Amino acid sequence: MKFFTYLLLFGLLFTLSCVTPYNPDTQTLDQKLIVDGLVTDQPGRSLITLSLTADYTLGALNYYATKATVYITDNANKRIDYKETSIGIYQPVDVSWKGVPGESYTLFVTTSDGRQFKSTAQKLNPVAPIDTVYYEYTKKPNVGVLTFDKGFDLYADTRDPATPGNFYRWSWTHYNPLIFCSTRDVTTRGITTTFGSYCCETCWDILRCYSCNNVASDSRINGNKISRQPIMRIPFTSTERYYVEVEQQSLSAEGFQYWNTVAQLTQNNGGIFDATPVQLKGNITCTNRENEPVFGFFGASGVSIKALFVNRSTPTDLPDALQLPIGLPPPAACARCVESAYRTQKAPQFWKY
Amino acid sequence: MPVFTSFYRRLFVYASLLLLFLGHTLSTNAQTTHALAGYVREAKTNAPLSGVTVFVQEVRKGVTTDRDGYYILSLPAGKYNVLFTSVGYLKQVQPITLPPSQLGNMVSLEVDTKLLDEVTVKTESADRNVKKVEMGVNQLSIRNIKRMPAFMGEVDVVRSLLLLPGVTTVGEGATGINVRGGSVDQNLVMLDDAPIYNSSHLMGFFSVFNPDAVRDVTLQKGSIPARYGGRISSILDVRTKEPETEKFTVSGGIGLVSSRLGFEGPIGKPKAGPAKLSFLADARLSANSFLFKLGPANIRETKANFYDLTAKVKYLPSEKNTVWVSAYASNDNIKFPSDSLISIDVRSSRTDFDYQTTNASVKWTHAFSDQFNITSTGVMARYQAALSTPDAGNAFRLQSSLLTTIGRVESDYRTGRHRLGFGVNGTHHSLSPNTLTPGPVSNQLPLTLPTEQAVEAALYAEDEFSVTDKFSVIGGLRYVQFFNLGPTTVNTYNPEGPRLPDNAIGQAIFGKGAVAKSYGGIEPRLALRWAPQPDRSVKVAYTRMQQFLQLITNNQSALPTSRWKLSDANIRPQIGDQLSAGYFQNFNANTFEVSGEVYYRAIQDAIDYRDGAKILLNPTPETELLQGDGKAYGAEFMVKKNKGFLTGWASYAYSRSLLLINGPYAGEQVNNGNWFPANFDKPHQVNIVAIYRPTLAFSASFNFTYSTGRPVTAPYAKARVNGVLIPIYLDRNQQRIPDYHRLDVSLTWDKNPATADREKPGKFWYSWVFSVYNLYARKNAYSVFYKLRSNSRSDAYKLSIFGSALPSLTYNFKF
Repeated sequence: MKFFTYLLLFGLLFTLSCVTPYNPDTQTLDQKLIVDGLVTDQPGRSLITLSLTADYTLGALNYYATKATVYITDNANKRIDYKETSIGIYQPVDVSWKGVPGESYTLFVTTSDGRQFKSTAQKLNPVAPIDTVYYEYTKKPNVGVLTFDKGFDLYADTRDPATPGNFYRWSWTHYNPLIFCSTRDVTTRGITTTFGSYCCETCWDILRCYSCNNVASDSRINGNKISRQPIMRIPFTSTERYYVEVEQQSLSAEGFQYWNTVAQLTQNNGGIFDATPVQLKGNITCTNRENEPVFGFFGASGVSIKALFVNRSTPTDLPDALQLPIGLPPPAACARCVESAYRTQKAPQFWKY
Repeated sequence: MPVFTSFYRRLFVYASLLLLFLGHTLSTNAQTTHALAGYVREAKTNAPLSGVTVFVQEVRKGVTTDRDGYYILSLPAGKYNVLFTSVGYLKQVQPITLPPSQLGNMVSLEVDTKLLDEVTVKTESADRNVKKVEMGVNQLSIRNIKRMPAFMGEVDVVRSLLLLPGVTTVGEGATGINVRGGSVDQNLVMLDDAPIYNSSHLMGFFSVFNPDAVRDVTLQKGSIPARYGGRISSILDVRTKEPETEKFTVSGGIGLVSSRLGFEGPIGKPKAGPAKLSFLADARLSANSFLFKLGPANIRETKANFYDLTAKVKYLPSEKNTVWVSAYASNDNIKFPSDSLISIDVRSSRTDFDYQTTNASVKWTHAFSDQFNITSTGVMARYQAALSTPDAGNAFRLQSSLLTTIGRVESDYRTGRHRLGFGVNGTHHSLSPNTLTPGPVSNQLPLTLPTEQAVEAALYAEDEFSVTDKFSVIGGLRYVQFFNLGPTTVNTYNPEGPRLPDNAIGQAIFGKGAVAKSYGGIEPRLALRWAPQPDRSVKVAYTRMQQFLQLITNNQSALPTSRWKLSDANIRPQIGDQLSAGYFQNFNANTFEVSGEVYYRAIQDAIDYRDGAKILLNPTPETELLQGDGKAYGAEFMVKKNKGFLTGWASYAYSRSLLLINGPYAGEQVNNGNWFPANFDKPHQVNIVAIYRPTLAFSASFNFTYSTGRPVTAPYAKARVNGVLIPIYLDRNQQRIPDYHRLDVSLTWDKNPATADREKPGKFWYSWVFSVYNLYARKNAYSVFYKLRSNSRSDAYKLSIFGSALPSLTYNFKF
């Protein structure tokens, strides 16, 4: 007896899966304090941000916690006072203050309504310098459309010290030289034209890695090289060179655990193979109210920086078009380059003309 | 009734005809008899039917037809109703008036489609559910499973179990099944006595059992016989077919998901009678990677392949001895184009999973008498799983393996109202939890976690005693002693603080073979049946089970590479006590079965995890585990129709599964030490299965399933730390994904098999099977996830993996 089965399958199997919006009941929690603090061994890079929790909806906003009393102490219980420099953002009173590697720092916060919080002591570990920073041009098809995602993948290599228990975090800052310091949209007969005013001074826009959470541990590679650590994807929007400063930070074991759990939480997509969601508590506790929840993390990091210019003229592909404003013809007033967290007149540390 | 050979019978027929004729014409006898003779054939094919009972109701006289379908009766003059019956055919009543003698009375019998089901499918008596003392047992034969609508045309043994009350899954594509609120690893899955540690191909979409090789599947979830142990939820016993002993056959199939080829037959068949030695070998191979190439860009690089081999040799050296040798091997290979291996602190561009099961077993049954036999079994079962990435600098392979060796002797003795069973069982586990091997130029450091060894020794005795016709009882006792053996290092932790690596206060080192920790206990098994009337019974059962081997994973559903862990000095075994009761009644001569069962199971030392637990590559997994209490309870109702054109069942199950993790120290509570629902807690479940077979040439089957959505953890609030949006979770599993329901349909057209003699080679037979999975295209939620996207108005999303109707068409033929 011979038996054969021929199976024919209709249906577009892979168009079957779909993601649809879904509106579950929203759960609420009173506004609780969130602490986002970091002490580094670089001047001007030791900020504490205080904010409040918000409902997990698009519309809800995380308000800042203002008028709090903030200070940190070191090993010798020396107190470093902070002041609120802008809403919810606290910086050392002494602007040039910087952390010292080897010291341990503890954060104390008293909110305007009298709740007192304290962090665990965080040791500022020095960090190894970045070995090399390099990039590769890649072109990937975009899902569902006939366009390509063109860009440069930036990687860092670093040499891990022989001692175990090193934890890393990477971040980056991009400085973009500006031509126009202000722009204005004019719409005539439905067509919008952007006009730009030239900068009066040399000026750079500062683009920081917002929502970066790039951490690693040496538990699997202790003493070896950390290679091809992805840092960012640089857009191919121009053939101009691209300036970027790559920051490598040291983390405490506690800090690594925190940020690694954050990475797991934010990577979860609700699938059945996801890690079980956890209650992320951080290292801060309320000292004068029992069971008062507080979120966030206070850490101490050594920082090493490596800058590079990415040569974007090598690919044979054309860069993605970027709509540039039209310069106003002279005589037009120039626009001032106003110093802020997002714009500067000072050339970046490693800038070369 | 004596059976004559055809020649002598024919001779006898002619001789009797002659005598009858003489008797009639010469009128030498006062009591005149007349002959009724002729052939019985099958209506469609005109094939002669042997063994048909020809019965004259008025005089209660009957004969059977011979091999050529011929029959003859001699009757006195009169009017008679002659009944022609044969198994598998519709009975026919023919009014006959004698004289004159009817020597050419041709009868044609129609094939009975519904009766054919009964005869060919049943391996157990129809009133098993009422008559047996055991309860909570479901048996599905492979013929029934093959008739249910199959997902993508792949007949799936495990998926079909989901249509039984009390059996659920975390989601489509999840590994394994949850039985009566138990976790996946609390089921003992066996294929021909050998344990199967991962019953899924391709992460969870298909089961590892080749339908061509399987005979039947038995799921025991209520009273568990004393010979089974080691898991606290259920026993899933998959049996392969007995090899064909008469002739050599080849079977196979080609499908889009997998293709199959199988051989079976005798080895060295003697001239007469069945062969002493026979074998079967079935292979299944998937070649579906090309399907992913047709998909969207993000899955185009996915590769997924599997194969499995099932083989069995049966040897019958004498009437009193039977020896079976079974072997099974399966292999899966899945390559995901990009996936983060964040759980073990490695980032990579590709993740590969591969896992293998290699099992072998030998079983020998020796019958000392009709009443007493001894079965000896030896089993080796190995499961290996690996996770790897090929990126040069980070290349590594993370391998785990579990090798189980079982030796078992079981005896069975029947006498009078008793059926006694006793036996011994020794199981050795050798577990290599994680071995990390770096690639040739990799920066990864090699790591090998020490292997774990353990022996589980068990002794049992059981008596099934029919006290009266109405009351019977099964009483069993199983004693298990578990030894965790060296070489091993046992950490001791400060009892005054949480069990964390920092709190380790000492180490004890045990040499090879030394007993590092031992657990033992008696497992009572009791089942009572009281039948006030033959068609109904009330049953009560109590079962205690202990589990020394568990799958530890803090994923919602286990991955193939999830870690197995033996109980040790720091991890206590799980103990489950289940009390169940049920009422069973059959109506209309076993046409309808009605049953209702309730159960309650308490679990000691149920396992959960610390927040953010890391299990893989962890040398001290006990510091991440939390043990607490579990409870599962529910009720199951089922109405089943066994006979007729329409067969099937409808069931409703209510089941809850809850956990309580309340340790004394911070971080050792889940949900502040309150009861919370387990990931697979799905309270309501409705299943309807219907198979309509009006003729042999056509059948239609439907199944409908409904279940409550599984619990999910929803965030209470959001926080932004360093620009990263962090969801804030407080208590676990407090919300549910939307309810799940689905209807599948399958239509089968056979070329009427009556017109083709399948036993004769060269005859062509074919069938078409058209099935639709998820007929009304419900977008069932596979998962719900919370993501805030600036370009969307929604806060949460629902992912449906089979969001539209999935039709498939199968063409089968045999010749």
